[in-house]
Amino acid sequence: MLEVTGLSAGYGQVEVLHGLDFTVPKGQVVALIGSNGAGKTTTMRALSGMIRPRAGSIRLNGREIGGLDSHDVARFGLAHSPEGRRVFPTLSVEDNLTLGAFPRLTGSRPKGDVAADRARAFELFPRLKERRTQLAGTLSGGEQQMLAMGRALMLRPEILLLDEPSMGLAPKLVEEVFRIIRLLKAEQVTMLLVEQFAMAALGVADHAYVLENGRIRFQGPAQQMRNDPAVRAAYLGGSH
Amino acid sequence: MAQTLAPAEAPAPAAAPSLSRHVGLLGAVLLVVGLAVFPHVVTSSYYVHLMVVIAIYAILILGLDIVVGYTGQVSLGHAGLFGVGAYAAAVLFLHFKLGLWWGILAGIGVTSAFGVLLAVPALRVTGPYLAMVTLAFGTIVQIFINELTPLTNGPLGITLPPARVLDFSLIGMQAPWGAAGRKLEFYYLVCLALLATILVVNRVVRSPYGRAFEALRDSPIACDCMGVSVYRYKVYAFVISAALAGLAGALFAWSERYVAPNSYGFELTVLFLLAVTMGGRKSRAGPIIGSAIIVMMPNVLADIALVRIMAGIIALAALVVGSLAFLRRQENRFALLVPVGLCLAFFPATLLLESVTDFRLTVFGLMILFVVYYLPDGIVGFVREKIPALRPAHTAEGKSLHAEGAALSAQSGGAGADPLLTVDQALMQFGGLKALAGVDLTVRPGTIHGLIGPNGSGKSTMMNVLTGIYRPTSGSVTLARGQGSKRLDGRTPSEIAAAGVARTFQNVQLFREMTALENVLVGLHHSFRGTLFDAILGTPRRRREEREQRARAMAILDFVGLGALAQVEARNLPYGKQRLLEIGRALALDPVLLLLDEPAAGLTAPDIAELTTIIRKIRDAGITVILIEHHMDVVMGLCDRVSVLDFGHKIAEGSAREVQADPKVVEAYLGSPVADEETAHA
Amino acid sequence: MAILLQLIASGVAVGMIYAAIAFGYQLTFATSKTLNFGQGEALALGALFGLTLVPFIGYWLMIPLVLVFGFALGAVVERLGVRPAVKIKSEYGWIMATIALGIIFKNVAENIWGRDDLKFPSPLPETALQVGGVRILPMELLIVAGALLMMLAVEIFNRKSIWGKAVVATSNDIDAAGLMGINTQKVITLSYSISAMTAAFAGVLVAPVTLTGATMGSVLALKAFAVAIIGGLESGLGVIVGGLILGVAETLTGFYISTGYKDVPGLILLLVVLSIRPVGLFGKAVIKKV
Repeated sequence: MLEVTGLSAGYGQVEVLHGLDFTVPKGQVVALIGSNGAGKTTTMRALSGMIRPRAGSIRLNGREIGGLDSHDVARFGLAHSPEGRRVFPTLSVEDNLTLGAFPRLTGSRPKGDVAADRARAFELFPRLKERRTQLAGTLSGGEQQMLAMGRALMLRPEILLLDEPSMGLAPKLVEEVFRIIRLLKAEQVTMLLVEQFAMAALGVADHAYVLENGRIRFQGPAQQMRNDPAVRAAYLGGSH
Repeated sequence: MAQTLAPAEAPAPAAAPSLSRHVGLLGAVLLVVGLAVFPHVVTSSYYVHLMVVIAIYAILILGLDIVVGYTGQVSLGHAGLFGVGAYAAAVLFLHFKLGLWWGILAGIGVTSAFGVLLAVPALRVTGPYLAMVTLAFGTIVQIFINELTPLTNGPLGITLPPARVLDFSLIGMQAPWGAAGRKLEFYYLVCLALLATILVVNRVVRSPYGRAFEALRDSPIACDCMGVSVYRYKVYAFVISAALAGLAGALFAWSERYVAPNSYGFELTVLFLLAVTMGGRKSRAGPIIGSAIIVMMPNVLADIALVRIMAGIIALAALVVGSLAFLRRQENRFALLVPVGLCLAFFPATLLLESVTDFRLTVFGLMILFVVYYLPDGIVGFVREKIPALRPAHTAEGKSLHAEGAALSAQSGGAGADPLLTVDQALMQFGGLKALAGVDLTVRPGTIHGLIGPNGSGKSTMMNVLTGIYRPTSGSVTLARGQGSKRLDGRTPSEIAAAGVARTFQNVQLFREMTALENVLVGLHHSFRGTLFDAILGTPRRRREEREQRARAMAILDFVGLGALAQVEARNLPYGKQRLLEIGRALALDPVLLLLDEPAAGLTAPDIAELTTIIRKIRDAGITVILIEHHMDVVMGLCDRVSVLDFGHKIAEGSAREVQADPKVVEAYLGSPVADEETAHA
Repeated sequence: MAILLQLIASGVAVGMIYAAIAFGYQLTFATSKTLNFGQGEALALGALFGLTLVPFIGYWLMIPLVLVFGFALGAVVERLGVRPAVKIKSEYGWIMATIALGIIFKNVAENIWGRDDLKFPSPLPETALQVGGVRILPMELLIVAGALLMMLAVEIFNRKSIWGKAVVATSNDIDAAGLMGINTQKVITLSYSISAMTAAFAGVLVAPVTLTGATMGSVLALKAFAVAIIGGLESGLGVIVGGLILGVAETLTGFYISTGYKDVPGLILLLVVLSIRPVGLFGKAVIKKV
């Protein structure tokens, strides 16, 4: 589904990613974990076109999308729920969701039934349904996270990128978010999940990659990595 | 100075030392000689007058360059300042019959006062807001000049008699240069004024003031945190610029012998901006070239034959440039199609028209567009790019660079019992969000104290509270120095820097267009005692201070390992070196407390090793360090004590080892396994 | 008292024109953090273009053509003046470029339509109506109605149509808008087109009650900027309030002090507001991120 080879990217003079290789098979959840500054969000941004890769290739279903602008990447079915949620604060919950389907409404992607998908989103996130006409900027952090995920799903994406969904959320809400991720997993939604909090991510992913200083340190089935001391060392230092 | 590292984005290899100083001197000599003999070679009084206007405009544009080139702001109000100067002189004559010299004094004085007035609304705004503020200012000036008829004679304007430059009858003599010479007195006066202006501007931009102007353009935040008050220096820049505009205005009034309100409007302001941009910012030659262009242009445009010839030449040049680009398969050859096409179209257009004077402003508009996109550094900048030896000499270039004195002033109170910094229940609330929810922090002198925590835990907020960028919602920050302590919360970054707290930034905030040496010199700003007049007059005190501080700055650069790169512009340094330079700049403040915000971010392993060595040396000199870092190895290896934040609370504190093993900390970083109903399946 | 009411009434009409122009500034600033320093020239060109069409098709039919003209003009300004500067991240660039384009437009207009001010035929009777002791020109009513209608139309567009929502999304968060598949460059061009369109429309609204010429827009645009600052470059309602305040302040100044000083209150207001509260009265303070 998503094949990344030799990805290098950075900001200005700084190269943050030094040749990453990873894949996200169809229907699976892959986690990218690592401490802050390791390059997780930079990876997401390179995938969704927010920054331009300096080297390497990104193939979505065989098509090369590396270097495209984000609106083109969305057209090809990559939905990115960004770090910090970034919902549109002066638009209503409903409008936010509708905008998630923008390429479908303007002919860049097969249209399908947008209204039905919106109704589905409200089923999945009942709290959003209660607040459908409320301005997104007035929602709580947890609700905004739901909205960001729902908005990304409105694209009917080939792959869903979730960037630090638990950031800034209280533990109860983190549980809620991961319950939803599990639901989506059951529906075979292909996901790439970036999380600072390794444990939560490893609990829901099939496969995981540990990022450190812009390189993949090691990878493996998520189950196996849950108790691996090497994971803890990647975050808190100490012997590797 | 041999450079051992190839800069990543160097515009031109800085191999040859800049000949700019020598060229500058040569140019000055040529200018002086040229101006002196001009009226004897070209005897037409029309052209002499034209030269006078060019020189007067050049004075103003040199001043405008300080605002536009050095502080990097667009000022749309300089025609207004010009008008104030002109009217100050004219009004003095109208009401008090005072002549040229009084007029010059009044022009400079009154316009400087207006410069202060203009600086007030301009202080807190930048960019388009500043442009509008200056435009509004200029418009108001025009309106008031027009309306205050009793003072200014309103729309009718004021007529002045021929200027009396030197009155020899006062000493009972006749002018030694005869009647013909008398006519040229004004011309020579203006030339002298221009030369004096060049000298003054030169001195100012090479002084700490000039460095402060560039610093506030490159990074206002870093400027404030280095103790250089952005407000204060913005005012200086506006006042100096206004003084020169006032001088030019007064001279202009006596040159044209007539002032009227509608001559000092928007059109003139745009012409001045065109001149400074086309000539070349941050230079002395640029404003002079630009002035000549805008003064001569109407004359050129009036002669349609000349215009056609020039259009033909331009079209030919464009054709050549375009063809070469295509033949060489240059990357931007398609982007060149537009300007080349326009240049080519210009020629037949001039053939069709009988006169271009009506389209004078269109020509100016097109020139502005052309300059903005294809010649942003102006003619002087273009020449400098092609001939690297002519690029501007930075401060101290060509002078001996030796380090002298201790890089760091050793701080007393090495391992004292009393804390150096005490944070008491710091609360930082943004709307509903508590970035810091009541944090206590105690930092012992002479230690390296680490501040860690996952994303969003409040580390950077704490950093900003400590350095005055945020004012805490409640709580206190106290710094103990010598005898007595100081409350830091609520103070400006400038004041906190003066109290001895220096910092580096998460995203490097260097003064990009200044050299490494100049960056450190800005940090040393606090130790300059000289005033603006010292700078302008070039007094021995000024020169001595400059020498001493330059030596000290070199010592600091040597300390952080950048001695060989002193003359490299900050933006051309490799990333790792940029981070070290920021530390060096912070050390120039002679701080008791140094705050490092993720200094190891983005660094390679060898760079990190160098960094840790330097931080240890800093601590050994007695300077206390607070370190925010994500690189655990760095934190563990360096820090004496570590505090851990999570969600705005302090959740652990202790030695590095203790904190690393603390289960609360592990959970904060890795999160806890999320409860799920499917654990059975795991 | 009657005079006071009279002055306020005239001030309202003028104020709505300022609001309409300021509205245009907001549109482009919201999406691209830039604005057109030649907005006044867009207004003047709209009025002059309309003036040329009126003898052939009359006032009302001329309006849609002027709207199209303004729309196209905005796209040109964005393409030539703003986009290249934004690409190289040069603030100085788009400020000077839009100024330059404004100068060029004004000069070309002067050459086509002449330097003298022209009379724009009023579509409505020019005799004043008496409303409760106050004399109001029918055209002034049209100005207020037209300006409000236009701003309302744009608001409806923003709220109802998908492209309008895309414009709002881009103003909120340009990166996130890109992630939605929105071509934010097109949105920016669209916002410039709408902005110039509103200015051109304001031009044909105000032309019948004032002198029409190449220079009619310059001071209007500067004062409209004052209104945009007062109202905050991000807030919609603020410009209407700001425009009314300014319009009334001006007519009062013009009467009680002198017509020569009429333009001064707006400019002083601009300086004062920016000295105290750089984000404008209705603007939101930005939290610095270092």
